[in-house]
Amino acid sequence: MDPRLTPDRTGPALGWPPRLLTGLACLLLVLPHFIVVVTSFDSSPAGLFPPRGVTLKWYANALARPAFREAFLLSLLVASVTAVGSVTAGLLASLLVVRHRFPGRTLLATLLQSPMMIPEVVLGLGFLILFSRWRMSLSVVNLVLAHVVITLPYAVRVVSANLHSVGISIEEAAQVLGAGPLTTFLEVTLPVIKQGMLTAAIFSFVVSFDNFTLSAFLVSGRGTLPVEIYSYIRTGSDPTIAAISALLIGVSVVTVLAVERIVGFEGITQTGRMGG
Amino acid sequence: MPAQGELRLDRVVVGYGGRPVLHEISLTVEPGEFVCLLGPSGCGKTTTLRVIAGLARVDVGSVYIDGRLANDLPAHRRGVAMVFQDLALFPHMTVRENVEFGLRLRKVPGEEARSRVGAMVTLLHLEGLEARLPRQLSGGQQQRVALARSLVVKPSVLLLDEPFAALDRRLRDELRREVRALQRRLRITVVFVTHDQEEALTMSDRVVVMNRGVIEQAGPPSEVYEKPTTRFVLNFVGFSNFLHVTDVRTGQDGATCRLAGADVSLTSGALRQEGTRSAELAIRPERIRVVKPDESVRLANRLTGTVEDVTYEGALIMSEVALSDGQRVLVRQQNQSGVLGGPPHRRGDQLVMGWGSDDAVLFV
Repeated sequence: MDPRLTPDRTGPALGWPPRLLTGLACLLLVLPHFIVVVTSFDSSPAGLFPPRGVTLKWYANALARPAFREAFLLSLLVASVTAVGSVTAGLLASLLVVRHRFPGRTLLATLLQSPMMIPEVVLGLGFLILFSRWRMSLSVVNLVLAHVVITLPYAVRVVSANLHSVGISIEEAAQVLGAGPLTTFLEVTLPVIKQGMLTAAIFSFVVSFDNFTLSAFLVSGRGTLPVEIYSYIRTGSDPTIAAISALLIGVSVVTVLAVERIVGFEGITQTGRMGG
Repeated sequence: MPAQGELRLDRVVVGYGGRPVLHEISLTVEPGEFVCLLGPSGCGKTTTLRVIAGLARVDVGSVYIDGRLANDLPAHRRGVAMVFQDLALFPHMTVRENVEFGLRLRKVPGEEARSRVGAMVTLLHLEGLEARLPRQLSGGQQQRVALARSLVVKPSVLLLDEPFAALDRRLRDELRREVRALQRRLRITVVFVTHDQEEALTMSDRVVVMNRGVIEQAGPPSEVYEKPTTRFVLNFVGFSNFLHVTDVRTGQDGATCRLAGADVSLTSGALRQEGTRSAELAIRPERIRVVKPDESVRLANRLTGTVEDVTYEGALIMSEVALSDGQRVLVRQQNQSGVLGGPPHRRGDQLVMGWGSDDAVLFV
């Protein structure tokens, strides 16, 4: 059969322009990462691209500096607690908004999305004033609280979409079969939306881990990793930063691959319906 | 004390205040009875089912299950079972776990639970599929799992919400027969919601026709079909010709009217119908007989018309006939002689139609 006669399954044939655009977009996404990774191996302190020589000393420097190590652990702690907090709050909020009808429901749904619309500088300033007014000086707690607020929209979106797509009838079926509200939630709702919750947790973790603007307002003493990286660049730059960045890229790639193995790629990108 | 499986709705209103979804629905279902709620979408039939299951709140009126007032009983304490329109199988549980669910909640001991699940699996031909997930089953198999899951708890009342709507015709027919046989064998009360009049007529002991939140008529299938009490029922259950008539006279022994220049007589009086502009004579296409020129049959009413169109349906032949005043009548005949030699009549032929005085219904 003439291959030109095979129908294009992906839609109407638009020729080369879409392919070119897609290619350029991918290049734009990958190129900065590529440059960072290559630069991290450059032997000169200027961090040149293309590199003049190959060395691992910047990696050694990055790992040897206690500032970076502590910052990494702080970021890890904040992001983990944020992910748990955000998913828990997001789940409760989603259950309320998706499963119940009450006056002000749409307003609440909009409010839950609002942190995404407000500039982080504004939020950061607001939190700074609020926390100092309340004499809350524990940096970790403040960071987690603020991060939960900015990651909540993501968690609510993902979990709500999941709840919507699962539909209410399996919960009703459980009730009619004799399950009370708690049993229904634990045995039916929770297992069915756990993929969505995992996705929400990953989103929240990543957003929290990468956050700079908001965190910059709230750190006192040791900063989170993005904040520490920024202050290191300000005082002078060498490829140590590139080395750290390369490590972070590596961690991200491994995380995504691991999650992909656990829940499948569709579980991450699509919060849609699962199973029959 | 009322027997298990009795169900009674007493002037139930849902949606008090605004436009009610259910408006003073009263219905009693006897133990072991198979009742179909029939009506177009939005007529309130699913809401009625949800009221019984405890999934919709009753604003006014009472719901009694097994003789007990159930208004404030939450869904999980009502002891009814329901098969949902989308089946609502638990996607993360295997067939066995789905069927077991209700027994587990009722704390049925392991040994008994196993044997009851086993019996259901056999009864619904699900052997060998116990370890599968719902998404690994065909539509018909999923349907059977949903039924097994509901029946295994030995409900006093089983509610079915258009469970066969998504299946193809053959499978639907098969499952209809199976459900009916199971219901007789297990002697359970069934309330079945459907918009398919054929399904309602063939399956149920009693058909309840609903429209806009009220019950239009309730009775055995033949009664609802043969003696419809409202224009809506006549139109929704089966097909009917509606013809404008004049000079309606109602008396002690029936009514008369004029249609296309001929006198028409009926044994029953005229039914009052609100919102009708002019009087209408309703007659089903299969009740009209085509009278051959050499045939002498005694039929109270006769009318002549011109054949406009003939449709061959295999077992039946449908003809569209124009009356002298321009109104069209559909006539459905049995295809008894076969039409290989040509149809019994063609477009343009004159046709004499006749019907008995008890075959038509008059609405004024």
